Amino acid sequence: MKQTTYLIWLIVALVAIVSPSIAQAQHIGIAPAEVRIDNLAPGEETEFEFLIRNKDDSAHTFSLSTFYPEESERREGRAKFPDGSWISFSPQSVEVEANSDTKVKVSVAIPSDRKWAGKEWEIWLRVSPEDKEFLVVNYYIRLLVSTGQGLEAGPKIGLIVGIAVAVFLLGYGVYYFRRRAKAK
Amino acid sequence: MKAGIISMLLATILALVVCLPVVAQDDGSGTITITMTGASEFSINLEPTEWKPVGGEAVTPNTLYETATTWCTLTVGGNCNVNAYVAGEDAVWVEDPSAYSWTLSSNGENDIGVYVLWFKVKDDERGYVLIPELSQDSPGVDFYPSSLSPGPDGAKQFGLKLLTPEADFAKDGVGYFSVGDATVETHVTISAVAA
Repeated sequence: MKQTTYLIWLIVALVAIVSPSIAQAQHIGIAPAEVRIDNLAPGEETEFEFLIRNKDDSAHTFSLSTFYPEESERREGRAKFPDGSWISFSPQSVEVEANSDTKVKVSVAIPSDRKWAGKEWEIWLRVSPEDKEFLVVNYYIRLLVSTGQGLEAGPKIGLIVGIAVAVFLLGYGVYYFRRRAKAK
Repeated sequence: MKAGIISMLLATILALVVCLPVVAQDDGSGTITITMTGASEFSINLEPTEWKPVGGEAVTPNTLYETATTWCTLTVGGNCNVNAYVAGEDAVWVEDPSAYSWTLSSNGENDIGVYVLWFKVKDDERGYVLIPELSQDSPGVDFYPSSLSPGPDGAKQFGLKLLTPEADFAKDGVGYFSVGDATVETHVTISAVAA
């Protein structure tokens, strides 16, 4: 039975590598190729936009994600970006019409933790076509992020509490002395 | 007495509302600057993007197929130099990817269910370079050495070579794959980033 099955399957026991698409060219561009964010303090968020240019005569859909390049591929002195979830795309997937451009908004938010202050990081933003042909091009934007010194939470809270106590004591003092004056 | 204390608390809250924004501004973090380096831009054009070994006819086990080294032209557009990397992936049966696939070789040797892909850039002294599997950690092997970087508006021609897997089984001295008359599909990914 097994042999019979094999023979049925194997009348033509050959395979071919093909692409389902008949497309013969692919021409996509991105701008800018590199983005540098300086002085982004822990607890802060910022945004920028980049452009996907579709120079083809057909529409293409792209998915957007982050990629951690190896040290040898990063700019000198740049460390690995700690967490790609701090970066978000809007939209996450985008269709670009033929011979047109589309903007993608990128948000970068650094958690409010002093350990992220004073860092120099690099991460790549990946633009991948969803309709894949045999040859596929993934486009990457270098994102260089430098963090500022950040919020100094301790002294700030002390200052706010100090102001609150001072205002309260001042108010109470005025109230106390007015009452004493009235009593006399 | 009670009204007085409530009045003081309200005065305190009012004072905090006034002073908190001032405090928040004085955080020493400075101004965030975003620089789009030199309004840089690049584009990649590939032609063609499809390869059918032997013109779409069936391939046989343990056999080499190759294109000319000028088969595909990669053109870099824009105003900056581009680093490019190449990687491949497993080939799968189009009709049922989970039922039958070929694993991309990591050592240049084929085996049962293991196939090999190489590329060669024209004039590249490295000759044929093994295409590794695309992973989360690496975009692949350098597409061209820095000495052959095409630069803005430059172009590179390259070709591919395929070694199919060894036969899944043999009958009467002829090797066969375990599925016949099937289409197997794979992708080669070129990753491009500003140099």
